[in-house]
Amino acid sequence: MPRRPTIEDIVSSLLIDEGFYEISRNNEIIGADSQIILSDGRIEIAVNILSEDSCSSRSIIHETLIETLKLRSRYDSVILAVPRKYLKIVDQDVLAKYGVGLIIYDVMGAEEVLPPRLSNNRKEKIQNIQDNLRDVHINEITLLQSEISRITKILEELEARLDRLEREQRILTDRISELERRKSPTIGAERLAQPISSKVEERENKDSLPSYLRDNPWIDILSKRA
Amino acid sequence: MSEDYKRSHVFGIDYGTSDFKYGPITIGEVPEVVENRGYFIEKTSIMSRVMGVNRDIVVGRDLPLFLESREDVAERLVYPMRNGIVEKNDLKAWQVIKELTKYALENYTPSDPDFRGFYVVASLAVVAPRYMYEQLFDIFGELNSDRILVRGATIIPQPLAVAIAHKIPTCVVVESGHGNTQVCPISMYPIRNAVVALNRGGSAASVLTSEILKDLGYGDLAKEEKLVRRVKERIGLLPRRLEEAVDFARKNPDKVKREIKIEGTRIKIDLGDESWTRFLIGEYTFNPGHEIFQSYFKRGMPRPSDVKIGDTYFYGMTDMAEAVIQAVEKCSIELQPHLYSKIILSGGNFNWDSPKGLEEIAVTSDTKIKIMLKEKGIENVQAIVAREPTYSVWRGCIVYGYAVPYDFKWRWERMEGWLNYA
Repeated sequence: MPRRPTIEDIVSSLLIDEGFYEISRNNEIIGADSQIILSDGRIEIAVNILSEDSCSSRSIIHETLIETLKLRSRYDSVILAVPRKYLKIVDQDVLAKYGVGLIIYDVMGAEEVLPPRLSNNRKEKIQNIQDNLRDVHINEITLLQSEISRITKILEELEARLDRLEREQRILTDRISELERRKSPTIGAERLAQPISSKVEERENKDSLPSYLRDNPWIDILSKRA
Repeated sequence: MSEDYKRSHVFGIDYGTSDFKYGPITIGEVPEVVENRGYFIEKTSIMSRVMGVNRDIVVGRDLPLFLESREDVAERLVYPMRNGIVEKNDLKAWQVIKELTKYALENYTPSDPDFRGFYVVASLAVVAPRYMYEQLFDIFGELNSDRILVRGATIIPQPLAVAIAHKIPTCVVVESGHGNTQVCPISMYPIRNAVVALNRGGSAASVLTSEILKDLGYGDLAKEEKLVRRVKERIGLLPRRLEEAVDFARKNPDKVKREIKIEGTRIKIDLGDESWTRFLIGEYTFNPGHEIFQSYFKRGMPRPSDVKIGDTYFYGMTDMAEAVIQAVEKCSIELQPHLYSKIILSGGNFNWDSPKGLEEIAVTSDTKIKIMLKEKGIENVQAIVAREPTYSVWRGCIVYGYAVPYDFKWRWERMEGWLNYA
């Protein structure tokens, strides 16, 4: 029997639908019942999950919030996942202020209530990349441009060659079909045009007929259509 | 024009939802196959200029050469059929059908001056509405504007063509393709008012495979439709009885365990302890109503729904044996035992293997349907899985065209005969 989906499965499937894939799952962490790390190849998201049992303890909730906030220094985004019926235990304005996302879940599925904010770390990284890009020497750009035009020229030549090859292939295919047609319809016409009722002649040709025409009771049934 | 001329110029066309198969009688055992789709060209594109194309649509083997960016493909690449049906007012889809038909006929038009056109036998889904017949006959007429390509034409339902190709005059044909399944009793001709259609085919099993891959931690791969299909074909098993198979797999994980590598990639998929899920894939094709699938539905997997397309209802959750029984029980009581005694299972969706060592728990489709029917009280069932299902409709078309006399005129009330264009 298939296992019942865990709360991690339910929460994870919401983000997987948005193009993320799971990197790791951890059920033994401090400050939450479990943690999932996901990525879409560019950014990494940490999701701390609180179970129903944990929501009944204020100290666990506070600890989870603090630990979730700490994760912002390590991941691009962080999200807290709580059971749907405990939505009101967290103040969404506070989470929004600190850029922490919020997901609610139940057995029917998960739903994003508050999207996470990309952490400054990430913004800084992007800024650094942009700054570095500005520093690229103008000569490198010129070099790249000449490379691109060289590759474009090669591509154009290849396209023209491909075109020539395809034309030749089409001519050859036509010639082969023409030759086959000249040969086979003559044989086929003689072979296939035998009257259905002439059973002796049919038997003579039987072996040369395609398998689906040989000894097919439908030929008799259909030939009587009128 | 004579019977001799007709027999040597029969041309079969099978309008399948995903593949378009065509060829004249002289081609032999196997028809040409291209995808049933057309690409509306951007005339300013490099490829259309390089290839010197002055058409609006490209179809057939050259099509991939014209494909451009992903966004363009989504907009310009048209698959004309859904569940074997072309929407009445879908002009682009009908343009594609016309272009494909022209492409097929022109590829085999001889330069022989005595050529006076083909006798075309086209095949459509048994649920195809009348407007599709009318539209197709119009297309055949329009193709004769430059040169006579079609001398006579007829249209037959695909299950009839399958029965003809398998040389069985009285039978039930169960045709299960990618998107749907049609159950059609035949007694010398299709019994149209007994047809039962199901809104599920190979794609439904692919959806389940995708869910299984997600559960195994391959969520990123589960979105690749073609890959999921390949995985389904390689890991899927059809259980004799699901509970027994799952029990066996749990007790003997090594016998059922499967690791597959996707050719040409570094991807390896290992089912590990979850190898018992291999049996779910086959079972879902035959019986999606089994309680084991409820957990997948609850987690958001779409349930095959009942839909109405054209004038036909396609049922989502009816199991395969129930569909056969419903179809047969719409026929006369005298005929029913004969129908149960020859059931032809045709289409890629019935292609399940019984691997060595698992013969007792994994079965082929013919065995499965027999077991399911027996459980519902139907004895003496003979079922066969169609050989080379991809080609059987086309072969049936050729036999039909070869045998039906050329002077047997088309009649709308019987939906058979030749419509002459000469």
